Amino acid sequence: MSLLSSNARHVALVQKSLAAGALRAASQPAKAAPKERKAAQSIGGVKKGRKEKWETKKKQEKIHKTKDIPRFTRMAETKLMMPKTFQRPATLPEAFKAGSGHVLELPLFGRETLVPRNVGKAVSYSDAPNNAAKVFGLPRKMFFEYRILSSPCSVVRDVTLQAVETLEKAKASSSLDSRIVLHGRAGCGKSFLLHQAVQYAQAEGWVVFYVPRAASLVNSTTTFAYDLRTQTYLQPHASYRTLDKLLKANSALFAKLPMKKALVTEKLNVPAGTTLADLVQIALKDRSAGNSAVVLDALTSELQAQTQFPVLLAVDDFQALLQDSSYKDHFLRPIKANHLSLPRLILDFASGKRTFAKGAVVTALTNSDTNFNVPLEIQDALDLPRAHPVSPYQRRDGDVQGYVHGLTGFKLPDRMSSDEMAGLFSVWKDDMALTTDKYDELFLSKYVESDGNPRDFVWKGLLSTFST
Amino acid sequence: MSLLRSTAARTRFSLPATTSTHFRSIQTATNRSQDSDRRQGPVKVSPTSPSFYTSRPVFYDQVAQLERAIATTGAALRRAQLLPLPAFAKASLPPPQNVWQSKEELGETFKTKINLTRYRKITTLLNELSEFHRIANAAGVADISQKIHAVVSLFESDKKEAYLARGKKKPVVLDAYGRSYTLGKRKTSSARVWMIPVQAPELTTVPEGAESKKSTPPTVPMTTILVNNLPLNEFFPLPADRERVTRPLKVAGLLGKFNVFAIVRSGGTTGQSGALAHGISKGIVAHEPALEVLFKKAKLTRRDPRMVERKKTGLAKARKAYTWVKR
Repeated sequence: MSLLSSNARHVALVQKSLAAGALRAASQPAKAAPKERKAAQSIGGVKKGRKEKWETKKKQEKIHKTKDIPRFTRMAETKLMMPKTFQRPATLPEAFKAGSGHVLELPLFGRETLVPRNVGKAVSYSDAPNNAAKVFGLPRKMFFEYRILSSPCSVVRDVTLQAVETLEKAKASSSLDSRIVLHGRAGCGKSFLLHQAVQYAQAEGWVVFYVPRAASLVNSTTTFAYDLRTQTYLQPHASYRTLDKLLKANSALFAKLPMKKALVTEKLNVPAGTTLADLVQIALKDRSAGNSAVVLDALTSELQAQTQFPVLLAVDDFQALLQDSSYKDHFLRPIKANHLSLPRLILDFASGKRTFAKGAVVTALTNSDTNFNVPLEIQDALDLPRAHPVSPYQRRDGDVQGYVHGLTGFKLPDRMSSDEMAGLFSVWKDDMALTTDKYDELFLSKYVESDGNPRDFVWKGLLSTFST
Repeated sequence: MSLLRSTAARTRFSLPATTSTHFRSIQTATNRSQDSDRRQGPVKVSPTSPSFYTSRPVFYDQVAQLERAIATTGAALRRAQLLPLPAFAKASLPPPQNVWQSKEELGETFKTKINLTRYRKITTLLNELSEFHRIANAAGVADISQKIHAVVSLFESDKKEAYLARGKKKPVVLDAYGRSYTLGKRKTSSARVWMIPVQAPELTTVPEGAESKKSTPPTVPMTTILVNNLPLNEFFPLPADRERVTRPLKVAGLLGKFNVFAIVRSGGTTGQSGALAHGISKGIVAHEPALEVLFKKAKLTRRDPRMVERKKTGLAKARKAYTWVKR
């Protein structure tokens, strides 16, 4: 029993052993380098008659050991300091440095630039705050693309000129004669063309009503309430936001349009002669969006009647409005899209039940939305190409068939021509998105790989390539 | 009688050429006395060949023919001082490419059953004859060579070309429309690839200043690749697979030159895209033989031999071992 505590005793012991070790080390001379251990050691001796095999094995082991460890040599100083190439040093180009303000310098989209001479050239959109794209938004995939590009732009195609021609013809006639559905294979440019049509119409002074994501009207992300008067499900907040956007995009035009009929409801009393701008302001004052659906209906009726400005109703994801929505009624049955107020409004104009005195209805289908496939009724109406044969016994909805009756299909070509594709290529090239400077090879190989499909060319071609 | 016996004895071992006369003379000698009795009997035809009395006359005829041929050609070559050849000359002769008819084929040709021993005897003689043939060919003595060929060609198999060409690559030929048909493989996938050059559109000069409403036709000819009747971008969604397919065209610099139609079967995406690339490489080489060296260097014509390794007993997978437990 020591006078020290156990812990202290332990510490003392450790210190003692350390000291002893140090003494021992100091006393013995410096150990020579340990003898090279014999390569292979046989345990229990080599068996009779296997001596030669054992000898060869030892020799092999020796050889193997010398090759085992690779030799590391220092890289030459000159090689370390030299950049990979003199032409492309490993430093950031000016355009990528912060604050460089690099933008694509492209001509502005308009009547002057939309000429046959400019087919295959890119044009950019105006930066005005009432630009339809800024106000109404854009389809998801187009939005992602514009987020990457330094300025929103698109390529002028043959189909763009055809769309311009169609709009010019539709300017003076009722929308009953111009109800167009853009269709084609996935990624061929339907949404882009629709957007170009919207931008053209706005530039030409049309009233523009653009719905870039009609699927958001039917995917049950906004409130809905059954209305006995109209026997449809109203969508108050969706209507509120639509009114807000319509006003922002067409404020100058709405200020010039007076109401022909007074709007009298339980809560509202708007006299005739009020401008549409004021009408919308009245509805927007009520943040609970109680009047929005009614006011939207009245607004569209007024737009129908007026002949001062042609009206363009442009709807993307049109197929979402032709089937069951994601809303559920109180029995948890899905509500048909045509029983919701906003889709109903759009479908009325698309089917010709309601018409603009002057204007057009242009819609586009989306093949890439797996939540809302292209339904059979519109496939039949437009005679769309089918991957698999469809049975005549498959049920088609009579209401939907009525809505799609009389629609004109416009098929976009499967492949973009090489000139147009070259224009698209130069947009990304000028925006410094390419990883290689072998432009010919990159363009040709990506065109072949994407089979002329613009979306695949950009997203799976230029932006996903492994080539350097 | 003794005279007759002695003549018979004298003539018994004579050369075959005199057999007929020998036979006839015996007949007339012995039957002189019995002529009147035998006159109405059947006329016996004398055999043309001495091997008539052997068990396999056809076989012995062939053997005799070959031995005669060897003897005469050997003598001719010796006269021409081509036999015996020194060792260095013999070594410099082109290698023998003999494909004799098989035992069964020979039996059919000569309508007699030949067993192995007899077949070996024939082939030994034929090989000797073919050696003389090679010497004659190398020396350029056409008459001897032709004579040997006349004999030897009777014994050569129909399948000689096929046999000599076994294991060699069959050259790819373009059909009447200029299409190549090649096969590509990778892992367990196979791709049948047809390639045809793109027909370039006729260049029409557009007058300057003329603005037409219709667009101008595409100026750059483009390759279209159809895989199982679907465009390439629909069949292969992954960019890696697509790049693998177009790599041979990129390496050759022929991206707008050919249209490709392929049927791919079996395996997954990587295997199918690799097989398609292999087939396209072979097709390009068929159309442009000058690129073969380049493609060999780029290892594009090589069929990737890597296959899925089998699972082994005692291991979890091909190489993965179970966790080692100390005890």
